Amino acid sequence: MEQVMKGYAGKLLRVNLDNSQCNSEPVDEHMARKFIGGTGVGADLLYRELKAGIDPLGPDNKIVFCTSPLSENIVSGGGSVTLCFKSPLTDGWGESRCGGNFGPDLRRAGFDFIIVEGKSEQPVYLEVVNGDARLVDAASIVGKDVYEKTDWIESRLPQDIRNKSVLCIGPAGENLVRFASVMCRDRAAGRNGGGAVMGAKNLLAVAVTGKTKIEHADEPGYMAAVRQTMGRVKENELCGGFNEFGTIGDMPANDEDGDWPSKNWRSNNWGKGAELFDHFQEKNLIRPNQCYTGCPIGCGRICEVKDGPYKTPAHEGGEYETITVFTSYVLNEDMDVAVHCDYLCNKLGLDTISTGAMIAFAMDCYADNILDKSKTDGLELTWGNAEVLPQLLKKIAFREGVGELLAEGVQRASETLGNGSEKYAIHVKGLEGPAHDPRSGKLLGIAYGTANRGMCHIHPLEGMAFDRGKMDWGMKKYGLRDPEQIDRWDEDGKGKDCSFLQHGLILPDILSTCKFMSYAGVNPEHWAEMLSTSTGWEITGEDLLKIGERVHNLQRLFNVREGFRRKDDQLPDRVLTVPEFGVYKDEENCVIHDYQGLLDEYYQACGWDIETGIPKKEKLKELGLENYGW
Amino acid sequence: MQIRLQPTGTIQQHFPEEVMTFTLEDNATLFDLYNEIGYSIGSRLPKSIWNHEKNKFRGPVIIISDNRVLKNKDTLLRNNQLIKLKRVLVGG
Repeated sequence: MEQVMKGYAGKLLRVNLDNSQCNSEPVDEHMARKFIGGTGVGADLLYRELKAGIDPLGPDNKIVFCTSPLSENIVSGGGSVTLCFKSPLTDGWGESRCGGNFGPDLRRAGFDFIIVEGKSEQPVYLEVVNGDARLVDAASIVGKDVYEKTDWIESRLPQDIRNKSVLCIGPAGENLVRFASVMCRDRAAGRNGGGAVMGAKNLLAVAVTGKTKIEHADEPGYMAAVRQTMGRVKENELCGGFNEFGTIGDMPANDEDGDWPSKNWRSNNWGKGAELFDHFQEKNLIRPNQCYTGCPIGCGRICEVKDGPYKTPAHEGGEYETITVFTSYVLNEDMDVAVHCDYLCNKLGLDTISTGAMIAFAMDCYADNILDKSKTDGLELTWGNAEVLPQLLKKIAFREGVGELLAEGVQRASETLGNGSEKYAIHVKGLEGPAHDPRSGKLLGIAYGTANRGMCHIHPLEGMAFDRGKMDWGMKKYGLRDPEQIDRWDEDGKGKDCSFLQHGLILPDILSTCKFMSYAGVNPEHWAEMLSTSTGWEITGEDLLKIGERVHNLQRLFNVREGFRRKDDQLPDRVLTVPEFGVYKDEENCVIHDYQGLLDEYYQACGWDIETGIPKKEKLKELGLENYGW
Repeated sequence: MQIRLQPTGTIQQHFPEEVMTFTLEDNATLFDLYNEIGYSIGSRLPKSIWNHEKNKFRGPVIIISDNRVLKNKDTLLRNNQLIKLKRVLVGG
């Protein structure tokens, strides 16, 4: 088939599960120029096609699988795919990125985007091969874990095509756990509950393969831009750091710097990060790993537990966030248990961050007698009781016993429990907090409060990397303040800084690429040069920042339409409180003193109404969003 | 021979001086430098950056010299060489 748009496969696959129809639609060039791809196109499609107030776990929700012109294995970070949907955790904007090769393999299968709507009467999976799509009966893999489903589906794909990828849900998704992930074998689209959205649709997996070639407007120019960007990453010192230490390498430093939430955020420091990291390096780590073919970084870890009660096969895991929620969050000193839980989450299809956060919440409730053994199936949920962790994971995934409560997410669980449990529910907009603490640097606080998908550490990026790491991601030239001149505990100006960074560091999401490439030296102009040569459109780094602002505002509008306002941009009290223990327990400076002032400054910088947090009409007009009313 | 050690960024706070000079035998290696650091200032370094049992830097502390990252402990050093230390953020 003739390819019209350069850089794109040029087609969107629309799958209606109500009538089992799979239809190809041309990608609208006007829409593509305005939103490029990834979470940009996802936001546009969902805003236009979803009605406000729909049930995220009902047939009216839709889930979009998104790539961009940079979803190619040769591009730095080009293996990813982004998923967009209305989140069953937050009832607002939901998105999640997944590493692996699914992004480029979807384009090899002939499509840039898949949008899935409706609900299948029977369990099915979607198979897309060389431009043809069909729904396949999946009754025989109901209840199977992620690895079993992946193997079963992969074996049924054409064996003569080398590149193939499977995204699937595990038992957690089938059981509508609100923080179920979508897995690309060991890589996860973890946050916001996309797995539950698929489960509610009876869609167990999406498999893609093919040999479609993407044409670029200026092939030599594109290859030169790709090589230049790759060279930039490879020569960056962080590239070696990521590969040698993995993300878990940050544990000792974050612990010291007060960036390590501990005991369900009672502190920002535990003092055991160094020992736990050593154990992982010496006992669990097998080797570094690339999540997609061609990655210049390879931050992944192949790890295992060799023997003992938590013996665990080799798998890709050992990621910083995951290990943190299964150690410091719950005061577990046994790294083997954390690695085992990591594996179980992958197998069952659970978001590791939300799962660990749920257990920490339950332990806090247990300590305060809000939960007792009569409500926990006899389990003693005491701090540091490592043996209950794997048991709880299975209960959550299958909604057994106390798992029925915990599968609902921390916001709903606290509403059900009452009795003051709300103060132990650490979340923003319903999304459980991750493994960085704004009591290490205050930009992270305003980022947590205002990120569209909830309490998220990568929208824009870890604030600590700005406040402590002094990184500017190449954005000083566009007006970002010099982080070298700013103390991590300063407050003035960080609302504006956050707004600026959100517009720039949303770009990897719009481009469906990996954010770590931005750490490793890829600047807006690198993305712009690759995009321009691929599509033939003239795009500058500054243009991309404007597109980033447009997408950020459209996602905000999605939330506004669902009723989100300033009240939903608030932080949990515990995050705004001096730590109860650890080296920062007497450090008043580490706490944000005027969060409301920061929020005012942020809204002003965004061009949003200070009282409500709603984007002003003139801002929407400036961004070409004047027709996106609510 | 003499080797100059310069911590940069956030880990400067843990070292007594901006640039420290260590005296090593001729043909010394990175391994020898680690031993000397451990012997002379190791006890003052926090466990977040220094493994006191194994006499080496811990976590994402990278060693940079001549614009390249030194990883192999058998790397030969030269007189008056400047070695920079930097703790990189590795995300997550």
